[in-house]
Amino acid sequence: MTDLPLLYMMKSHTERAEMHEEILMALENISSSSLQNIYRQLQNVDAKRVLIRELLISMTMGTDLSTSLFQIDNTIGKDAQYEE
Amino acid sequence: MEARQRLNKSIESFIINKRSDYVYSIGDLNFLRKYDKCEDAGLNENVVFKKVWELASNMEEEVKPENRFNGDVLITHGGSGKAITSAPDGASFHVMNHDYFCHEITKSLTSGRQKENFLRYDFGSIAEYFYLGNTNGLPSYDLVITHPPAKCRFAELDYDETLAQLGRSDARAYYGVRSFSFVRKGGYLMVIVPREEFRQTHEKIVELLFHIEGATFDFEVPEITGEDYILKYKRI
Repeated sequence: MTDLPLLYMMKSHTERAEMHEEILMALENISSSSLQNIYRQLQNVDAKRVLIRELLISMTMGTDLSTSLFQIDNTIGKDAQYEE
Repeated sequence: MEARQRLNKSIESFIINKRSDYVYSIGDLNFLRKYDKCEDAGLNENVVFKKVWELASNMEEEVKPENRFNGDVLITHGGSGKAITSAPDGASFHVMNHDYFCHEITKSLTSGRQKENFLRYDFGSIAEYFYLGNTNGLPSYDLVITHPPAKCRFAELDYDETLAQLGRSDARAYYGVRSFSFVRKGGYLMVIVPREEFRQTHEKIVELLFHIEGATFDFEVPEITGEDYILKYKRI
């Protein structure tokens, strides 16, 4: 699992919980037809934690949440293709 | 600023400014031990965790004479450092902490035990496993030790509305209930709670565990009088 950035870990409890909340709201709106690779990831508890961690890292680095979601979905899709 | 606050600030500054490859000296470790902003600051290692490990040793007969605990242990929130330093050999630990300084201090004070114990340090909260409704494949442990806080915003994000509400009103009971999901069959959950909330937390935990898990657990009814502060539940 990728290490969380110090910048994120140093944030206050409230700030971190707000970031989690924002991510969860975005993930709740994902359906199997919109971002199918991410939707699949959410079906496994460990993959779900890894995904949320990746989104926290991107968010801390200042990347827009929707951009990160599309990028991650694309990356997972390409990885799956490569494995096939 | 009070002397106490100044000391905590100075420890925080030391942790932030140290090089990533820095090796702590004995003096540094003694300095870190003085930090008192972690959730377990009020817990006496020789009293509370001695009792935790005594109770854990009673779980398996073969463990007692060897003073070993050959099982997987999850520790959520404060107390992880004290639980590990006082632990018998053999236990394999997964430690979760969501306070950066306490996470770093726990790592620095306990990594020396890696010869006798497997240690995995995780920055986060077990509430993360209960986001978005899917909990398939939760990891399981022989012993789960939790010393939950009274308030925690992560608990409020639970996918189950009843549990999210509990997280808002009583994070101690929330973590008591959710921690039990990680206990494997025959394993134990130990919840360390302040004496004044002992009975009330137990009643909430039992009520919700019955609601969520059914009759899959056993417990000792806590005594109203006495000095006990560890609630104990077994998965049957």
